[in-house]
Amino acid sequence: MPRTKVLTAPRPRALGTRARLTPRTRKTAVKRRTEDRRTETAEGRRTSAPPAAAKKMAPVQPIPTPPDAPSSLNEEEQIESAKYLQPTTAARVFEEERFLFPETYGVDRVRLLVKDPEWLFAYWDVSPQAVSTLRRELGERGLALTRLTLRITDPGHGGTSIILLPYGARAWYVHADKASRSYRALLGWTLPSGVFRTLAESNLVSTPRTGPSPDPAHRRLPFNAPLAEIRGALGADAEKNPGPWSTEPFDADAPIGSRRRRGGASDAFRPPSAGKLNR
Amino acid sequence: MPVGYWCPVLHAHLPYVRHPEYPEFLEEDWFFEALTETYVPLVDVLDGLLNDGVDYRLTMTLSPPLVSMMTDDLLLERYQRYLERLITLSEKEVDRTAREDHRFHDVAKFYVWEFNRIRSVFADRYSSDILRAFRKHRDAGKLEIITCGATHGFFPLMDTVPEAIRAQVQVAANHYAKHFDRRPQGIWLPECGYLPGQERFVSEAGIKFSFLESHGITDAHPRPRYGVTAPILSPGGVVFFGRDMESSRQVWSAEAGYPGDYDYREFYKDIGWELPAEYLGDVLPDGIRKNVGIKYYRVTGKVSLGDKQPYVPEWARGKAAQHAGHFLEGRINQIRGAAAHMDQPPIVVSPYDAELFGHWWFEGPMFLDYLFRKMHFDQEVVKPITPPQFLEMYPDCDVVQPPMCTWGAKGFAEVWLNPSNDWIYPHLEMAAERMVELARRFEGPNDLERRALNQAARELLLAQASDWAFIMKTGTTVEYAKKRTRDHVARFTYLYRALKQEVMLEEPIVKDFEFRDNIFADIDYRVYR
Repeated sequence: MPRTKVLTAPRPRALGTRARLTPRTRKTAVKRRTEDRRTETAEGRRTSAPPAAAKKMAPVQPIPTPPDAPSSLNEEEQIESAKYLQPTTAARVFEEERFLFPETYGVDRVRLLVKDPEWLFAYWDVSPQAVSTLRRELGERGLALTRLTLRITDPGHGGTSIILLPYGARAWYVHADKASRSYRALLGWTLPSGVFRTLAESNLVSTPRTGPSPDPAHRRLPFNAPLAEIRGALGADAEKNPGPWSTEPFDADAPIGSRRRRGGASDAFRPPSAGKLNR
Repeated sequence: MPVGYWCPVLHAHLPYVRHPEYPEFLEEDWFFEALTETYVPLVDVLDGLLNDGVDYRLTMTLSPPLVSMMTDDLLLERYQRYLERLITLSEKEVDRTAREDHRFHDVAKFYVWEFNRIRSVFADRYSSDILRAFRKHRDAGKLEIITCGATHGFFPLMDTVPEAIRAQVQVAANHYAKHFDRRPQGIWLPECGYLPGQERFVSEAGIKFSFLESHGITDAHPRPRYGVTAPILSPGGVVFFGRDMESSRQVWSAEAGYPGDYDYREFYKDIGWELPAEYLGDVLPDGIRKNVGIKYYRVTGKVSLGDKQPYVPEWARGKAAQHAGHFLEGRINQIRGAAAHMDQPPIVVSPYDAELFGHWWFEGPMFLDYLFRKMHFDQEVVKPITPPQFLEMYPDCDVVQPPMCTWGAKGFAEVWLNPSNDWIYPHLEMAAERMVELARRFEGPNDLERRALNQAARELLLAQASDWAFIMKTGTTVEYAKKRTRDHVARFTYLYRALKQEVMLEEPIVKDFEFRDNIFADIDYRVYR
């Protein structure tokens, strides 16, 4: 990753849909009642039925072709999708919960997920309170000139990418220049003055290594060896970093999303610095 | 003493689809079709092998949703109805083809025989308890049953809430213990998805081994000495066996793979689309056209569906035997080649989606039958084995750190994280965080609160099934996948808000959710602490 680069956003990625949570999430927005549907179907059958005395069972409609599998799937996935395949021409109608995915959960947070060695997926949430606070401080004009910004940092090697986000964006695919690197995202405002003000810090993620390691394995152990011995076999770095998962209890009283996120389960074996394991 | 070992792995999984609120529901057919074409035929093959003294070995995932469906009274009752209708239709077809289309008369009679065979194995031999069959083969030492994520959640994208991964593993392990009378020794990571460090939850559940895509082994650091022909030991204390690509391609490849042979049955040409709807009758719920499982054509060649030729079961059987011989020869050569450079016998691991065998590749179970018999009777170079049996003989493994990997396209997370499905992850993550919050907040809930907490855990687990993201990507039944995601997140959100006293917690609503989403009857919400 270069030292610093500024990217302008090529396209917004709006997440979720429109509205707040409904007060009760019961199912009243049924598209159509089951009974109605069955009645209609029965009528449909009657109208489309050929004469009972039809002699030959000729095909009644063109032979369907299966839905085109997206080319980005491998052969296994194209075949695997057959187990869910119902290439029906009829629109499916079913009862659904009346629920709109919320546009915001009212928290300031940002998260990173690893898609592959070259791409990360960042998504975030900005609370209405954070916007109100900024509005009070800067006024409408100042707010309009402020850009929500994503700063992607590489704590192990230094360097930052800055992505000025377009209005309404809720997620972003971030190009990670190199495999086997760690990344963290900072979500914040770039104020009219150019100052960056942090709103939230993401989890730490690592892009996977690709290609065979140049170093041959040097230790063999029985599969049921003690865990400490297994981890010791990989070198001191693994020992120094037992992982924060079990040592950082969940603070149930803290508002959701206010916790500074640790890296996640995969932190358990990540060396504290650019280490031997993830070169 | 064989030169090496072959470890076949069948990953059997379907999402939990059960709609008691409807008299019948199209997507429940996924399970019924898989029973009819894959699970029951496989059991019949295994029974035959056992009866004939063939020393076969097989490792098989039975995912918790699948086990739950296999033991659900409502679904079993509906399956009986499904099968009866199919048998009735196949009998009608014998009459019709005798009168009108003799080209298909023999194959129509074959279907009557086939569906009656399935009914006989399922209902008569095992009294609708198909798990009994799998336990029988397990107890005979031939079958290693492994578990999976509780609802097939895709772990690499759940990393920000590790408690949710742990819950997926713990709930699955407990469910396994309930149905199989012991703790699982192995797990199939959903979608073969691995992120370094996540195996700690597997290890914590007492599970010893799992599987990785090939590059999870070959790109590990340091570099394992024997590539995918020997298992490795990860820093989290879990043994990983690597997928062999050569044997995989022989079966999966659309071009070069066996299922594309011209004599095998054509999957896409089904009488459910070709005969009048009123003739097909109640095999089409609501008159909606679909595959009914009676297919009269063979692959034929690279021709349009309209130019396909009639299926001849005897020809297909011959090809299955021939392909089994070819596959065995490939493994013998492969193992001989690998063994020359190793100080222990190589193991070739071949994982497949179980539903490939039978559902997609109709002759797949037959192929496995021939393969195990040939392997047993015709040679001594390669023997089938299960992972625990291999580890018992060869316990030492290279200690290495595998990288992130999956068995999806390009080997990473793209299938489950792309513009067609990425919108689900913020909501799934928030629900998981909220579940952890609830689990830690409620020390001594009253009865209704406890039910609500347990139901919230069920709703979260069901929303996390990787099947929904997969379907959104493949574009097969996208509306249904979206509905399921929405329904479970909606029900979870209501329960969360009610438990936090933002809205009233109403017993009839909790009861309704329990009625609709009844998986994991014994779940304890405290698994999220």
